[in-house]
Amino acid sequence: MAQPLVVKKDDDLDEEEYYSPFLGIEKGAVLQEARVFHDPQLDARRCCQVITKLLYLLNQGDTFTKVEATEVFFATTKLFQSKDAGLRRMVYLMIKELSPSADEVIIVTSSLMKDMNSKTDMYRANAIRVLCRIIDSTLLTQIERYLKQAIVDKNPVVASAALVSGIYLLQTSPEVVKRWSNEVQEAVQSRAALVQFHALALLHQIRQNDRLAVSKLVTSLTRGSVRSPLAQCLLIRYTSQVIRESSMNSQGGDRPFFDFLESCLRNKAEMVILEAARAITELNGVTSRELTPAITVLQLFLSSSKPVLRFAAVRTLNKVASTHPLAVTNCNIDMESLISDQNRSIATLAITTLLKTGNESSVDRLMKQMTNFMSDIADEFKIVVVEAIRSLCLKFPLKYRSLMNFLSNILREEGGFEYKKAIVDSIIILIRDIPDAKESGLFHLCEFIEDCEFTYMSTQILHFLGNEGPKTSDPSKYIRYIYNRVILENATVRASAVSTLAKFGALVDSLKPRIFVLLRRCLFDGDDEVRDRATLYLKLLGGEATVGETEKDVNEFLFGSFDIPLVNLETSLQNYEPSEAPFDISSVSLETKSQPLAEKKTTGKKPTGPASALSGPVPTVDASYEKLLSSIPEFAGFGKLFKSSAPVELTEAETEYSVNVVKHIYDGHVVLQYNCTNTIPEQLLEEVVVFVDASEADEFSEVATKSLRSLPYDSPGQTFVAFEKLEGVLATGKFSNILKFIVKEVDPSTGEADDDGVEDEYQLEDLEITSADYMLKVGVSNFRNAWESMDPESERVDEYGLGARESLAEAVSAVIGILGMQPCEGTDVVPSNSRSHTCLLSGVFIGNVKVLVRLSFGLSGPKEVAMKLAVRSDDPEISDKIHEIVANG
Amino acid sequence: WPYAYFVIYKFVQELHFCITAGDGDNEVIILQGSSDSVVQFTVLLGDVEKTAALKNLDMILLSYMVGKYFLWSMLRLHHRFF
Repeated sequence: MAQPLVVKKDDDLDEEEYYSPFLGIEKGAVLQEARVFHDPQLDARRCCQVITKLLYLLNQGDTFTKVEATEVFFATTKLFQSKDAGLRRMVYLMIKELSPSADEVIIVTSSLMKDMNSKTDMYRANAIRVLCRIIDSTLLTQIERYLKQAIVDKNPVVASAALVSGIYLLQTSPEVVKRWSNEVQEAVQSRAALVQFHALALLHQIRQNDRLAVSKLVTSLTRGSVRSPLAQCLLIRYTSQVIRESSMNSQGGDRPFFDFLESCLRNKAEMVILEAARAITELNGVTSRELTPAITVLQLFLSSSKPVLRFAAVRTLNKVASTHPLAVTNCNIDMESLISDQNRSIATLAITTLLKTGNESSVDRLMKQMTNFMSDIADEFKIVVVEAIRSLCLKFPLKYRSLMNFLSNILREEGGFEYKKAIVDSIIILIRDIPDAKESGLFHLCEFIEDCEFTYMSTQILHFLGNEGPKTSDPSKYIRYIYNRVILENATVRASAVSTLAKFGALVDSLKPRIFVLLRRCLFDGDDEVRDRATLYLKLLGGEATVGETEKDVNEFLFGSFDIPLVNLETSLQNYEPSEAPFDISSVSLETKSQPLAEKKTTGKKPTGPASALSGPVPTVDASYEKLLSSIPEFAGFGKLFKSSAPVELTEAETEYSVNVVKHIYDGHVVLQYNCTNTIPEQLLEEVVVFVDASEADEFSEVATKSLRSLPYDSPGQTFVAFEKLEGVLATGKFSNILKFIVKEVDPSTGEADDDGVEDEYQLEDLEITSADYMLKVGVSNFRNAWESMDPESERVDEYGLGARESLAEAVSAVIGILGMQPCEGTDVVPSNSRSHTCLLSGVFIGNVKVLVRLSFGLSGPKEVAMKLAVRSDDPEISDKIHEIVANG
Repeated sequence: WPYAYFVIYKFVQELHFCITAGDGDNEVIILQGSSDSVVQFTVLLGDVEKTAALKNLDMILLSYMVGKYFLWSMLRLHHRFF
């Protein structure tokens, strides 16, 4: 709904009451006012005002319900009897905006068709517009004759109305409008500018799929006299289109129609001049010679008294400066005067253009002008300027001093994070690419971190200082700034500063004693990370007495990248058992394994079993599984992974080989992922694969197997088997599993395996794919709302006798297990001694169908449990399937 | 060059026009097409002020909505007033 206007009294209006027809306007009240349409004695002025309000509401985004729209429509049709010209025009607008339905069109069509033949030109024009907006193809054939006559009507208003309607109808009935080509062609020659413009637009759209026809159109019109400036602009656009599509470009000859574009630069209308200049600058492979006349007229616009022309010119030149900076150089003097333009958009565009085109001698003058300018613009403009300065400095390296001073000055002023980051990034880039700028750049960065409130940037600059500072002529002058961070900043920055100090100590021998003193002070820091880093670096730097290799290792550690995945490091550290042998970081795998695995321990402790399928919600598909499976070529084509089950143990605890399986469910496939662990130190398993017997699962056919190359002791690995099934079918079945491998003996003393191995196999437990595997546990926050928002037509209700059960709770648990759905609102917990219970479940069935289940349990006799099952889902067939699952379960 | 919009403003005494247009559009066409007609209309009334425009907003809406076709055929125009 429209917001009421803020009423503000001006001094001039003290004597008058401030009037706004939209003050506090709301739909209900305006609809009530529309009743004036029914008065026998029409008040034309009043009706106009009401229609204005209705149009205002529609324009502001208010919508009418079907009933409201129908009522307004019928009321509006009453106004056709009015003789007031202004009111009649508003009636036409209203009907067009309301877009009456098919049933209502008939009512108004006769009035409009009568008006279409009226002697009053205004009625004819507007009736044509409205009629073409609301009619269907059948009615269009009836009035086609009148439309063709209207196109060549001597009254420009009528002709334009028909042409504009043709542009609209071309989208819905192109075959009809194309029959009007002759009339439209005649209208293009009209002496009325309004008609010529619309006719040209319509004719081009009629022919736009015929390149030859468009080319002919352009050829004839560029030779003729087009009077309308708007038509001239259209012609320029169509000409540019023809030039782009012309194959003559590749031959390097003169561009066709270029003379026409150039002649438009001398047109009387400013819009034509601008359109032509822009078209020339956007030609493919435009040459400097071709650009010159366009640049010249744009240069004149730069000094125009009209802001819109200055804006248009500088905006165009800004683009040209990116591709042809030399061509824009002549405009630099005019552009510099725009830096102080009161329109900030013009000023910013001027500066960024000058930064692209300026020569070396103008840099200093430009910097002075920009200093005053920066405080007047917003951060997003400033970032544009900073990035332009960066480019300028790389272009003129000798000018780095004044540019660096500029950047450091604005770095000290107020600004947000993004703005400061842009400046810091620019300074860092300049330091890297311009060796002479290193010393002053680093100094400016040091000054900045003395008073920097952004942790990220402080650590970024400290890291950069650590890499670049030791290479400067006097590294010691940076130590003060770095150590100040240790004293004054938060823990993250302090830790970063400690690392930076260590880098100085490693590379600058003369500073090492002082670095040691500072690092020892850090041993008393309040943060663990800071103390640990100080301890580590003191140890590393203190090893100077050892062989030369150590020094290289130290530097590699300090400056090299850490390429071990942290997940693998964490896993190895957790698996490490304290013993005589120290932990060896080189034994950590560099290979990324993104899926979680069930860990097994070799000690006498009993391992924790895998999490129960019923504990804790599983809101969505495990992203790491999806990533793993899509990275395997054999499975990447299976589509979107619907669900991955919890691991199912196929072996007992404390056995030689530990195997669990994860079932990955796709629409048309199932992938079984066997996670294997070898718990015998003296063995190395190779070519590990699971042989799956699917004879009891007829609906599945095996399509792919991926074996495990090598399975060393206590290092989990995966092997996969993929099955195909029909989409949309609830395929279930039992699979027998045999682990097959080649076993090689490992020498405990050397850790080396024998060259030859023995084939062996190991029986695993059977695996079942059940209906529950096709249900994803997805909870809902409010079951009642979700239930009521689903279509009651999809509900299926039935009752079941569950027979003798140990308890009501046991029955509830069993049904939840069969369905595999997520209990909601804690309803899976059955109070003891209950004789009845209601359980609420939710989930997503394969095919992404949302399912809600309401279970009502009751005791129907001694230990006899009865259940009522109500299912709602997005698809009634799925609701039926849920019942089948329960009936069969 | 990424696609973008620009906004053109025009202030005539109490009337403020704000017009948004696509990056490739012709600024002169947009400005003249959108605001000059309304200004000329109010000049005829002898009063280029907000109250005059509001009292005759029906006529202004008329010129805009009729002009939709005029502008729509070659421009993508979004306009609001006040």
